[in-house]
Amino acid sequence: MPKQIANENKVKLRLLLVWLILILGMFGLISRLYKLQVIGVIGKNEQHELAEEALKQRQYNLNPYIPRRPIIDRYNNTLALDRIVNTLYVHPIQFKHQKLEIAQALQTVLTEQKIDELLKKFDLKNTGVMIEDNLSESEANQIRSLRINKTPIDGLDLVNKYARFYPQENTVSDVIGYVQLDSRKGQAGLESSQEKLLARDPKVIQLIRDGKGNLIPLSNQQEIFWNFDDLKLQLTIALPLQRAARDALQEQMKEVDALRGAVIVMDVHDGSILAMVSEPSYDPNNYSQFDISLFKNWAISDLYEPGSTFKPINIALAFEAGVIDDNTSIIDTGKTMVDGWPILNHDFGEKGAHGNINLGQILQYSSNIGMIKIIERIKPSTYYEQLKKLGLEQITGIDLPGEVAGKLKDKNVFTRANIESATASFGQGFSVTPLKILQLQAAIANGGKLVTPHVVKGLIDPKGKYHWQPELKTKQVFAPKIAHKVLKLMETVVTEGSGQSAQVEGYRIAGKTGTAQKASPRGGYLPNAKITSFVAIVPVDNPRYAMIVVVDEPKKPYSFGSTVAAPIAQKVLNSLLFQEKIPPSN
Amino acid sequence: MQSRSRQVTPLKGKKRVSSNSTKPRKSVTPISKKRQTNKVSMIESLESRRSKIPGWLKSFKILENSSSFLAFCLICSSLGIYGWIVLTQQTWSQQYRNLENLQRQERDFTVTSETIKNQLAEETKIKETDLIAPTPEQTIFLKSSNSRPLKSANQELETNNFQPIKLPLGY
Repeated sequence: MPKQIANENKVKLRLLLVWLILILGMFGLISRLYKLQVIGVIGKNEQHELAEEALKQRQYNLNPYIPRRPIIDRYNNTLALDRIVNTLYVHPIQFKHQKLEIAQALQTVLTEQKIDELLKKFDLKNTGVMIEDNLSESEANQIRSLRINKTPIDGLDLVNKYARFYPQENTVSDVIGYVQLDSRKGQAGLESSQEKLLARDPKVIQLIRDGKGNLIPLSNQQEIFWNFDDLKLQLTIALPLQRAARDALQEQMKEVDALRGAVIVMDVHDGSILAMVSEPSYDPNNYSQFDISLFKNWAISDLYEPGSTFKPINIALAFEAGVIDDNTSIIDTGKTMVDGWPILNHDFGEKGAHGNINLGQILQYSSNIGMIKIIERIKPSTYYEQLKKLGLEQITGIDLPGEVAGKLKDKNVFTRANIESATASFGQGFSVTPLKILQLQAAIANGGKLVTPHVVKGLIDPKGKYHWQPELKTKQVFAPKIAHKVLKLMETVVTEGSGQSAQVEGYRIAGKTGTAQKASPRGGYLPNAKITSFVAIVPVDNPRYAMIVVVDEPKKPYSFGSTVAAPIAQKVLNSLLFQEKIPPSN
Repeated sequence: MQSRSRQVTPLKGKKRVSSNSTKPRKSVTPISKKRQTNKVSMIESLESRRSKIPGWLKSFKILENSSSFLAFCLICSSLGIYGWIVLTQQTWSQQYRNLENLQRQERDFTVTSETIKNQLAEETKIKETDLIAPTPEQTIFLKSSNSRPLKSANQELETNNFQPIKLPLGY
């Protein structure tokens, strides 16, 4: 019996031990579970990593590529948009077909690559050999669907990224600029100045993945997808006119062997720019292959002495000052001395003195002497104030980057000697941008208002509703009556004077030629270097558009505003009048 | 010894008692008889208790029934909701893929059409194509006709007075 009792005790002890082990194990498990599930998730110790770890596995940071907004012109032609480009890499180690077969298959899509070159590339490395960059989406799809003996090709890797594409190449590049490929930041033109309107906010969307790897939307973030705006940045640019202007400019520049040129066409009433071309230009799709100096638009960032195209403005200022009237006539001696400096008319050598001429003839002959005699009637300090009031020293406020304000001499310097007013009377001795001259010409056309030139019309949705439009300022600088008088005088330049080569049959066109010496950076003027220009306003009976053409340093002999710039203006006017459906004046 | 051992075994396990119940019980000692009578009295007392179920137990029973019904409903609805969630997820990811696809196609389409446009424009520069830029000279401008006063609807009705067509009766 005692043996039996001892046995029973042993069994009890064993049971107790087993029970203890199980209970301890259970507590262990519970405490571990508590650590993992409670402390690990909500605690602040290192166990918190578990929660992050779990989240990492489930959560998927969707970086939905938020493309920059496309840019369209006033007729909805696309000027810039984002597209996916693919880079093809191969991993030869993963090849399951013969290298030659793969090269042959790839060559059917990558037609520019040669088979032996492809084979050489396959031998370079075991993995990650870059074969081709900038493949379009359709090319990438073709590569994806390549088959050898009906089996897909292993070891091909397509990596996609977004790149800005400019289908019109260099046509609008001076206005639009380009986007840096890696940083995706706008670097020139509108891409740079309108970054806020173009770049949508980059948003990282966190999504949860289910067991199958499908994405689960989180309710509050869903809005981002559906409110994904489809706005486009619409410009005031008219692509066909822009193209016509560039073609005309390029052709003439080649003809006269010019350094550079610019054409701007603007609506005189609201300052919207229909065409803005500067040459030489660059293709924003391959910006890295061009000289960095081309990335600025010289029509707004470089100063020049406007020369005779400023004469109509001076006439308006003289009207404003009350020193001339409709019947004023001047005796043009062809040549004069101011402060000991000889000043001649450009045609003094051929025609000598013009004699008694009226205001219209001063502009028609582009008489320097006539202008000097008009401006000397205004007190130099008054004249200086008038020039300042035109905003020559201020930027026009165009929505493009890099605009430079014009330069007037210091008031003391300007008023001390008569030569300053005299040279300013025919548009020399101060410098402005071509755009500023256009703005002033537009003021003559629109009844004396300085409008703000701009190229951005607004952010437009697919239904044609504007979501943002620029606020533009205007400033009255001439009385409407005076502006109208000057416009009529300018019309005679095209009908009878130096601007005849800009005439478009049936239309009343006002214009003014300009041929100015080029100021040397070291002071004085460069010999044999001139800048020819032409300004035009159409139609005179109901002015709507102003245009400026500037051709810098034409090397061909007999290059003047009338022979170089005016013919370009005529071509552009032809396109403008046709495209804007403006009926003939008579 | 055998009879003794038989007596012991039924005490240890009830099963044995039931299995040996076919055998005559008369030889069994009075002790087992006593137990039997005890058992009967226990059953009786249980039966009498069942007939008097207390109210709280009843309410527990109701609670149990209703809660199991509720649990059933909840399980059903949670299954439904789960299914719905899975379905929405699937639809969502499908539609998202669809959206991406459409966006890609739109981009492709724009790129192609604009590139073609540019190519065409570039080709016009080549003299052999005989394409020239349009000018207002080649355009016909039509003068807008003088605006005619609108006729009122009543007048129109008067002029278009309906006249019944005379058809022969025998037609």
